[in-house]
Amino acid sequence: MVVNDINASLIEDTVQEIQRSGKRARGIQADATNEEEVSRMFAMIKETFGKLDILVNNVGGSGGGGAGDTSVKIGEVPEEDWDKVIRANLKSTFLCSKKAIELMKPAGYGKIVNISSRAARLGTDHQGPQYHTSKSAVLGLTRQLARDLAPLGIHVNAVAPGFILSSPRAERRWKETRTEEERQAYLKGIPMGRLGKPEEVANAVAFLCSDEASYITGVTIDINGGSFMI
Amino acid sequence: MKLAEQVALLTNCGNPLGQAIALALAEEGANLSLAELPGNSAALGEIIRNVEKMGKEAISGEVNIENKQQVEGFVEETFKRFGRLDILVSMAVSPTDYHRFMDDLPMADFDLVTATCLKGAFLYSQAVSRVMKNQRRGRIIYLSSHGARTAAELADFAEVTAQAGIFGLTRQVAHQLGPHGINVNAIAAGILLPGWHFEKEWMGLPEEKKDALLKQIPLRRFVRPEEVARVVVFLASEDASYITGATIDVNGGQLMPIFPPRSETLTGRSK
Repeated sequence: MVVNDINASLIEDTVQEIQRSGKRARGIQADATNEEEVSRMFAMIKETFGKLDILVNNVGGSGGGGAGDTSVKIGEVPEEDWDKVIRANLKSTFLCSKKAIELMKPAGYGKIVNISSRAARLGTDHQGPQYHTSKSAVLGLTRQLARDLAPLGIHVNAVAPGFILSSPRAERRWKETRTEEERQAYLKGIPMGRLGKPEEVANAVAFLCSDEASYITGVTIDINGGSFMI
Repeated sequence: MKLAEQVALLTNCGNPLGQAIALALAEEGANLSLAELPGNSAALGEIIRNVEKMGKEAISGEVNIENKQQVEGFVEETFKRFGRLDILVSMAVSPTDYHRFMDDLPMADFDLVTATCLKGAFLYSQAVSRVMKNQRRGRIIYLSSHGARTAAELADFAEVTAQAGIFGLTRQVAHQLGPHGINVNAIAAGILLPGWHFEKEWMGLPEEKKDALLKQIPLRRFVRPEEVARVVVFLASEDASYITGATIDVNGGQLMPIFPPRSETLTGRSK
């Protein structure tokens, strides 16, 4: 496992957890929206492991300190916020995929999974247009890459999670930016009546990365408790 | 094992896809209840023998899928035998084996296909939902087809129509059963080889027609029954615990439309 983040202390936590389970892991601190740093990261991967089978593009963000802090109306979105969120969600996916493919092509094998969002499937009132747009664009990129790379043995898919209690920040966002009434109304919109857990996204990603998904490419798996169905 | 001691009911499963799904579920520890249409259950003998070899149990029955009492009776029999029912795999297999256009389709055949594919799926869902609601847990998985996601050249008009209805059924049943802890999803599978009911027709096509069709699939091949079966196992397992109301495409990338569309068609008739 190669663990990348822009934040070194977060990398360390994940690396240690993987190592505790008896697997090899190496952390690489890099800004995935910067081409030079991405190139350096993939050069290190090539040097250390000699190959790359799986890429999970998990870099992302809604801008600011979370949904609660973001101006969500288009008229209130500063241009810098737009650029920042598009870079985080879309450019990182593009750059990392571009470099990963160079390692996957010679092997004739690869799996790329892009983390999109339910926000790519519908409109919401708690995220800005920059977030919806960039997460939707990730799905366009997924399909285009899938089509181009399928004949080379590289599968490209996406997952679109709903509200996942994925971090202390997400829990705060859930508890502190909504009243009890608002929380109940939100849960009513989810047929399963609850938010998602990080493992529930991870399991779908693991499935897409495995050979169990050998005839699946170009798809988006919705992990949202039924809150958006198509 | 992902499904240890669980019980799965499979409908219309006396075919290569049904066999692959049955074996994949048994391999993960499930016991099976296998239903086929009246007169078709001979095909289940081999599946049962293989499942028993794996140390799992399987029962079978002939069920008229349009008959509410018979469907309910078989679900009840399954519950009596095993004491639980965790998974329904509903296969909407068309009883006809040739592709027809709108003008060539007798009304009786349209009704037959609709009943087999759609009404059967509804009646089974209704019957198993009672058991699953009491358990506060269950999984319903509908098998539909890639052709019903878009349109298909080598497919029966009535079948495509009925199987498209499965996607609506999936969402509505998911909506209603979500609060009861029951996840409901569909699989839209591409062309299956072996096991496709147009296999003979396909074999008879000239090579350039075959090439033209395969070129529409980014992975450049058809789907194997085991590849669909593994997606069924995923949806039935705890790995898919927050996925409901979804349709999973297992089509080698074929759904993504090509623009501009290719002018060449397989049969030449639908131009």
